[in-house]
Amino acid sequence: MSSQPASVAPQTTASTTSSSSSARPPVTLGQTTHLDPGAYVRGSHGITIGEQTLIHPRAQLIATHGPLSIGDRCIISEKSIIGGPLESPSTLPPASGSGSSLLPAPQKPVDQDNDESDPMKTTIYPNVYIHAYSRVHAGATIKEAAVVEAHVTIFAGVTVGSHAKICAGVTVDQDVDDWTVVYGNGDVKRQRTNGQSPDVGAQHMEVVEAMRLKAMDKEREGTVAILKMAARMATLAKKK
Amino acid sequence: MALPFPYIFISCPCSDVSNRELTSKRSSRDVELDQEIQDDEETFDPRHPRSAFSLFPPEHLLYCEECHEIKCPRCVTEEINATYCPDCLFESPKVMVRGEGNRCPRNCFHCPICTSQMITASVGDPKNGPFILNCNYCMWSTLDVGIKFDKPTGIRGQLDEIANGGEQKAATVHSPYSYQADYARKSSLSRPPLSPADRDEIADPKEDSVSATPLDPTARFNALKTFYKEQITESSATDATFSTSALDMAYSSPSSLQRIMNLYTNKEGATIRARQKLTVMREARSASEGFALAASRDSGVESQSPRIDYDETVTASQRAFQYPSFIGNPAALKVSELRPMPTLMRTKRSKRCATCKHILARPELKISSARYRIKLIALNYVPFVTIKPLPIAGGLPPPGPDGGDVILTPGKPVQFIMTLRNPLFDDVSVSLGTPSVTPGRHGHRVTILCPQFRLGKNSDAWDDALSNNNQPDRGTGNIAGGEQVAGKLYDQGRNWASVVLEIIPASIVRQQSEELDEDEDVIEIPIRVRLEWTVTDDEAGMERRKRDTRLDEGDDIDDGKRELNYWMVVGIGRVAC
Repeated sequence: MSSQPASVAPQTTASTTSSSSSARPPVTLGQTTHLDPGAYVRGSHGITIGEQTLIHPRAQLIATHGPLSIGDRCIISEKSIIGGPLESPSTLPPASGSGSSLLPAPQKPVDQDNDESDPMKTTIYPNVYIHAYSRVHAGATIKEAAVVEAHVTIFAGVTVGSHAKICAGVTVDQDVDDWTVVYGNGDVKRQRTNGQSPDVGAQHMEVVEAMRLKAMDKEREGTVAILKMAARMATLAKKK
Repeated sequence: MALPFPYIFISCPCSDVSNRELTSKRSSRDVELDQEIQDDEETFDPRHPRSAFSLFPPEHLLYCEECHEIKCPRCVTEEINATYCPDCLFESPKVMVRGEGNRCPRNCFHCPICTSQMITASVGDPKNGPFILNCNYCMWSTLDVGIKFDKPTGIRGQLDEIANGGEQKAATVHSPYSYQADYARKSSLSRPPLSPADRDEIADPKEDSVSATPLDPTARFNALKTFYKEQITESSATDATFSTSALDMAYSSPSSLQRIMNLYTNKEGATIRARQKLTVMREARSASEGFALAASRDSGVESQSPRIDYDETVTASQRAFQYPSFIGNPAALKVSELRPMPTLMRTKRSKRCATCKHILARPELKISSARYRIKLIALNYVPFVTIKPLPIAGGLPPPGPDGGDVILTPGKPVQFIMTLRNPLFDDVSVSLGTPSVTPGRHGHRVTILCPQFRLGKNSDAWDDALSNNNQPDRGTGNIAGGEQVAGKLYDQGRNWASVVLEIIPASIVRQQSEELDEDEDVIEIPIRVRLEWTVTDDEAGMERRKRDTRLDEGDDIDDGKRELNYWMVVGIGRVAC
């Protein structure tokens, strides 16, 4: 799939930022990446997506606050918002309704930063799996092979370490180390490599992690095939 | 009670004092009780400490078809039909359950860190393994404690033999005492007793052969047990009064009881025995005999590794999850000492009426099915009661969806609509009785505008439509048509009727210093419900079949008349104070 423009959100009509948000951002796609036509892409800053990445329909890539950079072999699931928060609740009721309690506090500083200084860059390293309904705010960094589960919120400026896992529903407001699992209310953390013999444990852990990444690759390839087929059918139906 | 208003409770008749008296023997000292019965028959006090034990939500009650009574969880007996693992849905025989510590004997495990279910995964070749248990939630795996499995099945058996770190468990290291114990037991009577010196000679080379691995608590216990058994056998060879039956330490066995009695009654024999006793029982003194220095714990853990990183310590709940000690490691200090825990088994139980042994609930035998073959729920026999405020101007607003507190102003009459819905396939005549003033410190005035009425049968809605001409005489006869008229129903339908309940809350007066008891301001109204119905022959299906079987069994002749009395408690709201 070439850099076919993704559809723009239908609700971006009556807002002050409509000029910037409705404008299609410059998207750089890898050759083998699948950016589903059903995904929402908006904002004025650049969006870079690596090779073999899968972006599900209804995922939202927002470049209003700053540029987005997504690495190779990532999976961005549906209804997740990358580079949020969304600009104003009134323009986008469905998305803001679900996260209204979490959004207001970080929203203000992000906007101010945006106005004053350089745009904040949201970086997602390769092999990251972002599950459904999770929100990655603009300015967050997610390092390689991290897993962000459903309904997770990652605030601006936070760095999630490589091979870390944020379990479902957790709100992350501070940096997460490499190989760390955050679960519970976000206050329980576990190092994935803390065996009594660290070097051996780490080796084992890498084996397990490699298995997981392999499984993730398989899942991604399968889903890409299905979604590509679906997109083709949709365009054919439209033509008819 | 932390329930949203309004709530309904039903008092099980089994706790009724008068009811209990009828069945049990009377004695003269029951005069006081008789007095209580008198009180009890007058009104049921929901505030009485005793009533807390007899009130149940209607959903929790069963109904016995034989006794024609409501049965609460206390008047049923439970029996276990099957024990199964909730994860793999495999049934286990009872003997096995006892032996395996009520845990899944197969492959089901839970994560010791986060208690979620673990998954068997392969590291390396997908078919030939080695395999690990992996927690997909917190990413803990048995590799964290250095355990790998050779086969993907029978993991419980494999894990029992592996200690954390991957070595064989000390319990399964060939214990010198396993064969020694047998040897000693077989020869105990024929062999001359060993003197302590002899024993040392035997014990010493053994100690050398034993590996220095310290035994875990279970193994230590077994070693100590065999050691002392052996000591007893040896001493018993010379001592006639100390019989070999004492070996099993079974105090309930008649022979050992005899022996113990001998110790007390036969004093002379005891002194003789003491003189005769030549062999001295030795205490355990080597690690292989199960001996461990008490100080070794201090020197072992605390001084060798005085500092444990906070992240590596276990939480209290993680330790609690490790019980019992022969499966997990409840003494674990560090995360690396934790062990994956096999899934706890669950049971399927059937319930019987405690008085007549009639089955009230019986689950299907198939483990994977969650349905019940028999389930006699009280709500299928007793009218279902709902209560809402009367929708009039100045009345209470209807309760919100979250059911917040209902606050009533003292002295101001409030009306509620109480709707009773008949689940039976017969017409039921209902009479409701309530004290005009609620019992307790604060008497709230209660009036039920129409205390006696009939509930239509719970027939099919289609039947209703077909026999439309019958409808008017049943319907309009006694309806006030949404008005509050004394002696008339507020509204009525096919199998339901609603009556108006009027409450005048009493004002709660108290001194400044006086603290209100917890929930003292809650208005709870006791209502005596009396149901009468006749099981008719023309009823389709269920009822008739039940009657037939009853007649076949030669029961006393059943005229089909049923009567049910019980106290119901309605929590209406709180009084503002």
